[in-house]
Amino acid sequence: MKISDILKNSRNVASKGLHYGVYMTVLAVLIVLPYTGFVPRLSLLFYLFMFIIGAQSFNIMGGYTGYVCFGHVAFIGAGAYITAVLMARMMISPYLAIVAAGIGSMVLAVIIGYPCLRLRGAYFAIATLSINEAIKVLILYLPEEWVGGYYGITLPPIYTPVECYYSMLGLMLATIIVTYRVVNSKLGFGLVAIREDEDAAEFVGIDTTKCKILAFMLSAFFAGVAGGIDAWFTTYIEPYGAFGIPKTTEMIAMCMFGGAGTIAGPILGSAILFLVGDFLWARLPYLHMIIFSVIILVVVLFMPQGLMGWLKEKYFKILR
Amino acid sequence: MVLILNIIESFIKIFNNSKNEKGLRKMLSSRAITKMQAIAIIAVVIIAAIVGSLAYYISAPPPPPKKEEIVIGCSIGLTGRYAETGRFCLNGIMLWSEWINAQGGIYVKEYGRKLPVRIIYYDDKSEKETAVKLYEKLCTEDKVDFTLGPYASDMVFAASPISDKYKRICISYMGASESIFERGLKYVIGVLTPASLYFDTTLRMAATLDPKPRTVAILHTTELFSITAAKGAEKIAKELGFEVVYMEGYEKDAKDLTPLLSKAKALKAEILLGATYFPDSVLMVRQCKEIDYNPKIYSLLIGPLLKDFYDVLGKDAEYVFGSSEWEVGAGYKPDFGPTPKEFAEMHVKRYGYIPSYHAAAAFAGCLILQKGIEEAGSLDNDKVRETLGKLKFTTLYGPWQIDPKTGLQIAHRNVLTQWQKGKLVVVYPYEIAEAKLLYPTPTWAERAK
Amino acid sequence: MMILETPLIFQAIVMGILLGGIYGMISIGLTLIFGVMEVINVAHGAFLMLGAYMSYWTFLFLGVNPLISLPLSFLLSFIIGAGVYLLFIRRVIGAPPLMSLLLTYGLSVFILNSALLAWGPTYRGILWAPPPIVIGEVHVPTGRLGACIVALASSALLHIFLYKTHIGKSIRAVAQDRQAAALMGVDVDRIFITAFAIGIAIVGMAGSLITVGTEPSIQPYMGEWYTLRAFTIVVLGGLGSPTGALVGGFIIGLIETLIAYFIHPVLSPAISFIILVLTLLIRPSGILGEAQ
Repeated sequence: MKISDILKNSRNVASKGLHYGVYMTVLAVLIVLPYTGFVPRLSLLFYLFMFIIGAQSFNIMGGYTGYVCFGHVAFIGAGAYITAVLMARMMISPYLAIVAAGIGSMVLAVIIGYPCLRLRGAYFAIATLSINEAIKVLILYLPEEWVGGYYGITLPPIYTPVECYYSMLGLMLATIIVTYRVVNSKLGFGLVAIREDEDAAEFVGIDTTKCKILAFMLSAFFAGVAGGIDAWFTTYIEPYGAFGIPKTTEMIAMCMFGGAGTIAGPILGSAILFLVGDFLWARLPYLHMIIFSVIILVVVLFMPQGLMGWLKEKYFKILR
Repeated sequence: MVLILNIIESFIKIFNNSKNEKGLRKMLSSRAITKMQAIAIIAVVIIAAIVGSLAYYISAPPPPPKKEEIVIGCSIGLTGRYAETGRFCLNGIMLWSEWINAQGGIYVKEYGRKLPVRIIYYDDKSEKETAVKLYEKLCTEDKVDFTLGPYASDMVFAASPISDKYKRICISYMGASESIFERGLKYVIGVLTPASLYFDTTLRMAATLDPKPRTVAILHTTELFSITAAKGAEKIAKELGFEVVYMEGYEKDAKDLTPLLSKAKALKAEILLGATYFPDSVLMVRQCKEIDYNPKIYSLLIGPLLKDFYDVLGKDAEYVFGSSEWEVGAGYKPDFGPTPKEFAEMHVKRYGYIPSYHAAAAFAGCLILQKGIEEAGSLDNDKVRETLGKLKFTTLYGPWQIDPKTGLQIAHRNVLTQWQKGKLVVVYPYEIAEAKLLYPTPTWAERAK
Repeated sequence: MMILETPLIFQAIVMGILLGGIYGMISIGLTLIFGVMEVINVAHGAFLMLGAYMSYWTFLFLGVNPLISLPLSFLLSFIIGAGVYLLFIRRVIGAPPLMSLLLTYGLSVFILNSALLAWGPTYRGILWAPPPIVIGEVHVPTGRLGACIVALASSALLHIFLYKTHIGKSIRAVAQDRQAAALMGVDVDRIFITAFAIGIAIVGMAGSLITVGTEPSIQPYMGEWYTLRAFTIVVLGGLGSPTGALVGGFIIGLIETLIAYFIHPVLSPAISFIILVLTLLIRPSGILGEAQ
């Protein structure tokens, strides 16, 4: 009861101030981090941000619209490749390359979306998965001078790790804010309607095709730009890494673990799963995959609503 | 970046303003949940971040106050495609570190004493991108003094620019392909025979035979190492007067090589060169038997050198030549470090099995680094690199000398081995051979008797 | 390089058909499971690998040829399948596809890495390679021939099972309309267990077959390659139709082999994906599946 009282109070009394205060503190901490000597851990946070972006952008399609895009990593990979090819082969400025990556991913979303979004459920998942594989195979067999083929592309290290860190941080904030705004908008409402019952949504007059494509494009945009910034940081990409299925599955698992269909879910899920996974991988090289798979199994079996769903059930029942 | 953020924000504001409807928002009352979510996010993220960082700081060993040890870092494929051979390499490296630490460490003149070594290794899952990230981590977070390359040419190709970026030496004890060394990197050092010379011993041996076989078929996969070896073989074959009648690539996980083998058979190639890894080498021999293709010489890479080759193929493995970097039976006389036999004994005592060339190359790679540090008298990467460019010596692994400009290995040559009566023996060069080579390979029909 | 000799064409066709039969068998399990309970089993390759290892150990300790020890693999895989269903799959029946995809993916990673941990990455092989059967200029690999024959026989047996036995008909009924079948008195849960176990049992058998049919060596990662192929075949043939899986298997097997022989060996994987994508775009229900 005490918890609920506190929560009720915070909801009623100047709650806005409290929330924004806490947001700002976290933000301030993240911004100042590089200067406090945490610099070696930057790469950890950097990849954490990337996974958060990946999980959150996946959430737009998978969580809110109900269309599980198993080939989500295709957008990240496409963004990375567009950036890499533009920067390494054509010497274009990184900013332009990133913008092109975002736009390119959106275009890719439209190209993939029009045929695939007609399919439902499992078929959509398999379709996107196989398109992801098809793109990977395509890049493997295109001439090396264009996209690096099997050996990948090495980018010139234009930005220092710290600069990349801020870029990714900014992108993550943008993703969260945009997702929040979209979810609370008419578009968001439409997406949830589609998830619950697509035929009914059509019946009620929602233009499902437009909503789905918009959501897909949005999802792809953030993933693409994230891929581009990742390319800046890692300075090397190659087909298996950029389009690897394990990456998609990890992001989906993170999204689900935290709670698909919520805003906080993917963030929470990514944070916990990524940090735990990284720790395991560093200390237990032979066991980390087994433990990770057990975590996935536990999540799917016992917490299909994710952490947020579980929290909601336990603590917020009182408030509703 | 702030610019991007602003652009995106304004773009989205425009985008959303046309869709936001206050009435809907109130109706949904999703705000309440979102605020609760917000508290939860903040709390958990902060906790997670704190716990995560604490965990790292507590569990990671404290950095030494002044130089107390030499830290060497690497990533190896302990899971994934390269799992088996990756672990062989790791054993070789750890054996060396135990061996050198038992002697007190490496003597560094700069510090006036011996410093023990510590190896930091990570599993790169046989993925190139992971390896790249790991080398970044090794050089920036773990602050290693030197690095060793990962397993396999394509991995070294991907990871070596990172070590170079941080001006760390990268000993490529398992990357044989020349293209690794042709990119103008300063700090990568080769140990293995360059890939394009892998078939050199086979072809030279074939050139000494009487009657000399005339025609060659070369099969390779799409991997860097394989293509390099194949192209090199083509060049050497032509130089030595052979006729390359067929050269074709296949997908690395192919399950059916009969299209290529049928063509090689139709073109009557007497020498079959396969730039293989393990699974395809087995497949090749099996399918040659299936379609009754009888080249006089089978020479394959990597596969025949593993004990598993004979386990899987049995008698069909007989007569197959393997171009090997190193074998226990090779009679090298090292200038320093253990002899091949001593090394093999150490390895058997510690791990319980006879080492393959992977462990030997890894051990030798570390020996080379050790020699470089000792001769340079310092841990400064530039000094060690310069010193290594001038050195020339023999270890248990064989002769060693690099091209001072590129780091490419120029002294080491492969030995040719052949499976005879269930044992892999060195048959060429004749000076260090253990047994006489068997030629020509009898046909499958003859063997069935 | 194209060398169009007649014997080569026949060789290619024979190899393609044999491969197709084996591919078909691998895919039948997948499509059966999906057809009956709408679960996409990404762990398919992992069970395949387990079946292969079963044959290996049987061969090693009992000296029995994989083609003969099949019933053992079937039985063991059946038990494993039932166990997996009861422990894991049961909880995601009826849930959105995201659940079953993630669950089976987790299972596949778990099984694969446990195998890696338990048996190590060492390559193993079954020393059974009888000489090929020669018909004219065409060399038919005996192992693959045997595997294909067994595959076809098993498919025929499965067909008889599904159409002539009571349980088989119940399975088909549940696949067609779960609620109607329940109303007719079918114990749906029992049918699910049976169907899933049979699906896994078939895959386990297929695993034994590939040790003599297509795979040179056995190691924990061997199944992954087949999972994607199986998906292509299943979609091509129609999700839920075992006959479709067989037909799809032959088509893919033939196309892959012909391309490898006459155009370029390196293109084979690309072709599979192109076919998969095209199928999904043009006719997602596949050749023999019901229209959506």
